Amino acid sequence: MFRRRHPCPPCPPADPAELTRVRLDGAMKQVIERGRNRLLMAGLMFAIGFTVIGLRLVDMTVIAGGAEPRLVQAPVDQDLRMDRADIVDRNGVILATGLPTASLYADPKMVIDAREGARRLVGVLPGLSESALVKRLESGRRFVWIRRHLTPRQQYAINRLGIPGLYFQREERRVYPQGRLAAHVVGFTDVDNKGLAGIEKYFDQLLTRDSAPLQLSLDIRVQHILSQELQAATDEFKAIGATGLILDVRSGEILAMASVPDFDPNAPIGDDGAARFNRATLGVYEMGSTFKIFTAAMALEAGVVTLDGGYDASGPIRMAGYTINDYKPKRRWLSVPEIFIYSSNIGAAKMALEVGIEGQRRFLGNLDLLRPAAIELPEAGRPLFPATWREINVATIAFGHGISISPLQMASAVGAIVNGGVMRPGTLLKRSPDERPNGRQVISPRTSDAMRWLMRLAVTHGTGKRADVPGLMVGGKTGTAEKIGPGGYVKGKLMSSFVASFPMTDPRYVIVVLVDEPKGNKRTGGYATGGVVAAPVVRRVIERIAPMLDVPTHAEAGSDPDSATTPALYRVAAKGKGRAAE
Amino acid sequence: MIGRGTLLSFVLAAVTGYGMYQLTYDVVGLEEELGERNRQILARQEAIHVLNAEWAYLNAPGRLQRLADRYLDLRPLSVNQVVPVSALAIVKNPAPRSASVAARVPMPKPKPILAALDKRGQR
Repeated sequence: MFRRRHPCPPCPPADPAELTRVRLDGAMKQVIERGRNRLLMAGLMFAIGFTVIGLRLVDMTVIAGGAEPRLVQAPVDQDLRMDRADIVDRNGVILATGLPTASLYADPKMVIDAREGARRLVGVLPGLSESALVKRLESGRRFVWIRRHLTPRQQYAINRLGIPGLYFQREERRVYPQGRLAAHVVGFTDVDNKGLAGIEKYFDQLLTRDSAPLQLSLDIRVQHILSQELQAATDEFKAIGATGLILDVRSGEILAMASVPDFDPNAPIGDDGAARFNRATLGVYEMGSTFKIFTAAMALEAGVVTLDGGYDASGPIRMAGYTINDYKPKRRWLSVPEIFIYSSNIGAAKMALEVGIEGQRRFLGNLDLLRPAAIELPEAGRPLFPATWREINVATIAFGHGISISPLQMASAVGAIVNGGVMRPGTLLKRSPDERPNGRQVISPRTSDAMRWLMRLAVTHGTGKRADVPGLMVGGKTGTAEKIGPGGYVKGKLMSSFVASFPMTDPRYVIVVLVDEPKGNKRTGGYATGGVVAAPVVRRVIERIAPMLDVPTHAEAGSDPDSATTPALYRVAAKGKGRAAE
Repeated sequence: MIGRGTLLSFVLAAVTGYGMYQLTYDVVGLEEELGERNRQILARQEAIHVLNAEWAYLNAPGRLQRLADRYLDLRPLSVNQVVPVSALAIVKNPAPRSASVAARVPMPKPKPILAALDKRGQR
């Protein structure tokens, strides 16, 4: 309580001045004192209140973010956000995008006459079953889909019907403007925009989380050319399918990857399931003679033989109950370049046997051929190879039998052989122009150099003549493998392939083309080997893509770049021939 | 009698009140306009998005090739038509051409489309 202001008594003695003041006493004085005290209390309360408000004001305006509130907040999100990011090629061309559409749903509780409504809806949306629709509209639920992703015209027609209880939901529909082109790479989604195959599945989470377009390494122009030529070869040789891919050997980027037959990702369910099979990555095949690239590189790298060396290929090899023979036997000693360019199984087997079981397995393992390719696709085939690796396996694997790998693995491994010996796994994502991902040195640059010229010789002098493009220094190797059926290899069912790289002076790209079960025709004299089926495809593809990809040519008239740059190898080849004449 | 100062403060209060009122309504109006503009931007962005998809569809290489085959007298570029600039012999001070040299210099053929038009007499 408050002390009294005048704790008066005992009062001082009265003096004249004091006497003029009114002195209050008793009850009156008490009332006034109380009133004064109350006033004081109220004032104090107000003072405290204003102090608090004042302090809070200082706090809000000066201490905690005293700046003006920013009024420029946009009521809506400034940028358009789609549910799923676009997929674009290396030049930004759209491969997959989302289009806003309307989907029709019903609230059955609000539908007045289900039968009448269903009858009229079916008139606008043909393909709906009227009885099923009635059942759904009579169900007690509050939400049933009627049709997803309407066309604007259908939406307009349904609006005109004016049936109560029907509503539209804004949705996105995934569309693929390029249609069948690159369908196996891009993949597709289900009606709820969930990735079901290809990049759409592999990057499902990234595509829904991130709004920036996903840029692939594909070049849609190159993809078109490859896929068109593969289709043409499939038609010409009545093959059951074909596949091919083009890989940048410096960065590992895949410029094109196609598989025939293909499908339309805009309506993937209607297509044959077999068409959705990606032969380039999911299919594993016995490659046949293209494997001699690895055998030769392995032997040269291990040092068991040099380009000057050679093997006796005059008679077949018999081991473990098998006979290894040549397709077109030369029946003589063959130099290493000759073994390569004439594609001698006997020579390749002898070369590999000299390296041995462990050496071969380690070498192929280094080239990532013994495990599924590390590619940004859920469809990566598991290679098939013998669990126990015997001598006979060494001999057959030397020419590409008894081991099945995917064309993608083939391309990556050949890329490493020709690019100076650095193994870089293939990728479907675009890398920046100067990015050189770290690779593994699998063979020496010297061996790589030798392999380039062996591959070039196989085109100029060997089985790959039909792949040559004047001025572009194409090098490559043919492959023709019989397919395995019930009870062993099936005669006449071939897997014809060609693996090429260009320009061999400084390889930029590797191309792999495989044609599945081609039938020979009149033009090829009944042959359906890699040299007559796949090599011309490679030539046509290179002819068309080289100007586009800005590959330097050696097209000066009258000058043969081969003779200027490969004298050593011509000597080797000539030496082989010389010996044959002996 | 109201003092001059009091009158002034009344006038000031009225003016300020009116100003505040105007400002508030202007801001509300501007905010509405901003919202409308933002909706328009979004609608335009969506339209652009759809047009981009259509552009990609119309420029699909397969379609372009079909159209080019049908309407153009052009053929695919061949490798020997491509020559690097470094391979060109650039003469710094070209000597005056004699008639015999001029005869040997290859001249480009007329463009096929022009030739075709000539033939049809449309040029």
